[in-house]
Parts: sequence; structure tokens; C-alpha cells
Amino acid sequence: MKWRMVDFEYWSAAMNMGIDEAISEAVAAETSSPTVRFYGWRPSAVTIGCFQSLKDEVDYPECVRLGIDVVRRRTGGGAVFHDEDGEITYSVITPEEMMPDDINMAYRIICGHIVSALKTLGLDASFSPINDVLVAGKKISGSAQTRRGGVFLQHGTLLLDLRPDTMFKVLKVSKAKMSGRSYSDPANRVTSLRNFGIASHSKVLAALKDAFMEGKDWEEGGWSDEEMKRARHLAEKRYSSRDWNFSR
Amino acid sequence: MPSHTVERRSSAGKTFRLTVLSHGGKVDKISLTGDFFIVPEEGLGILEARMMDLAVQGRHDGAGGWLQAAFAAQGIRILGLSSEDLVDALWEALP
Repeated sequence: MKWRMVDFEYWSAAMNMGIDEAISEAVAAETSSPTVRFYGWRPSAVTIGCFQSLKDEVDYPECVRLGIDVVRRRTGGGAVFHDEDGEITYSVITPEEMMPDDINMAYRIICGHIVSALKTLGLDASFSPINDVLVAGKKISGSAQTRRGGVFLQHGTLLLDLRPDTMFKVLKVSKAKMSGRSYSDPANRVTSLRNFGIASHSKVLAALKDAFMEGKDWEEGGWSDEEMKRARHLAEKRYSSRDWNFSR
Repeated sequence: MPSHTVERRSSAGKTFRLTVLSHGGKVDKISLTGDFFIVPEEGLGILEARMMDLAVQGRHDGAGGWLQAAFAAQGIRILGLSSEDLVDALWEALP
């Protein structure tokens, strides 16, 4: 089956989630090909996991004050600060039967693409189950996946740069989260490519594209009118709604 | 309505909060939040309902196995959180 690769583009948080869901629906309906997309967040955003409580994880008034979007994902996992200039995000959306049934194995395969890209860039990266990639013992990439209606979705981030001051202004870090961790300061648990002297967005994106698409039959593509219409609808009705974002 | 929340880090390193709302010693609602993974996502509501069943049954040996079997029977997969993590938190949170 031929894959579609959609090159990097910026969207709001609600649209990024709306696009992922619209593609998932189109893949389920067999009107769209399996898709790999790369994207950023404009404005910067916080996403929370599907099963998290927004009020427990996010300083919402501070996000509003700073002009930072907040959205609940369809995937599990933790709260993430997506800096407009500080990361490249990816989504892989495919019929479920094209991925292993084993969730851990699916993480290993897709996070393996991140590891490969980082190795191309000269870094000694490794997959850290369940869903992280580490460089020098620190997290540089996190991912989350779900399966709905016969469709597999995994999305995740690769950190280019860090703004820990802003990150920890908008994210609440609980004592339980830090218990048993070797670093008391949560900012010390994460790193970025800039810390290793890699600052070129285009170079990193090229490495990611090569790693994700290697071995696949693929072509570069864009969104159909139907996908974009559905994505805008979902962005407005679900991902911008208080009912969804504050549902827990 | 009185509530009691237990916040824990699971054996797999995920953080979760279990909240029990009760009235007159009777459990009215159990709510679970956190950075774990459940597939499909609708499984969370089923998991909370089964934990209500457990609250009615009361503390007993084998509760973890019962919970594990209950969600496996419905095809629910949980990553980052074990049935023992949940049961331990539930016993602590119950009134």
C-alpha cells in the first residue's frame, strides 16, 4: 500500500488534533492512504493526555495569559508543552493491520525511526519503553498512540530547543511524578538537539523524513478538500470545546 | 460530597490519581485520571465501573486478578498501570 507523506506545516493545537482525527476517519473509510505527517504548533500549545485532568496538569490561566493553546488529545500519555520554535511533531496514521497488535512493539518500531534519525545526526539515541527516546540519559522525544475503528495513530515530538521556564510555568509537575526519579529538577530530565549543537530545523526534518519513509512505497501529498473540511469541523466542535478539553 | 484522592506513581512509572466520591459511607463515583494508556479509550469508563464493583465487594484477596480478568474479557488493554496498582490505590481511597 502506498503511503502519503505530508511535509511540515504549522497549525493551531485544535487543528493539529482535528487533522489527525480527520485522517484517521479517512483511512478507516479507505478514502485516504496511510499517512505520515510532520508539523508544528502556532501558537505554542499544551496538549494533555486523553485520560488526564486538565486542571491537575495545566496552569490554564497562565496559558491564557501567555497566548498558549490548550487541547486534550485522543491519545493517552502525559501533558506536553509544544514550543512553536522548539520541536518537530509527527503523526503516523495507518490501518491497524499494518502495525503489530502488540502495543509495545508498535512503539518500538515507530520510536525506532526517531532513534535512526538522531543517529544520522550523530547522536547516540536509544528507545526507552514505554514511549520515550533518550539521548545521554535524558528524554528528547515522547510519543503516544491509540487505535480506534481499525486505525492506528501514533504521534510524538522531537525537541529542537527547550524553554524550561515557560514549560514549567504552564505544566504542573506532581510530587508523585517525581517520586523515585534520579533528578529532582524536572527540567534536568529532558534535553534538546540544541544542547548537542544541532540547530537546523531543515536538517532535522530531512533526517526524520528519511528515517520514517525508509523502506516504504510513498509519495508526497497534501490534504483533500474533504479531509480539511472535516478537520476544521473537529477543531471547532471538539478540540476547541470546553466540554472536551475539561472533560476530566 | 466527600471525596478522597490518592495520587501514585505506578510500577511502570506512570502517574495516576484515583478519586472516590462518597456519601454516608457509600461510594457514589470513582474517577481515574493520569498519563497511562488505555486502548480503546472507552475502556476507562468500563474500568471505573468495574472498580465500583470492587468497592462494593470490599477488600479481598484476588481483587487484582478479578480486575485484570474483567478488563481482559472486554478487550481492554492498559499500558503503564497494573491491576495491582489500581487495587492498592482503591483500598487506600475508600472511605
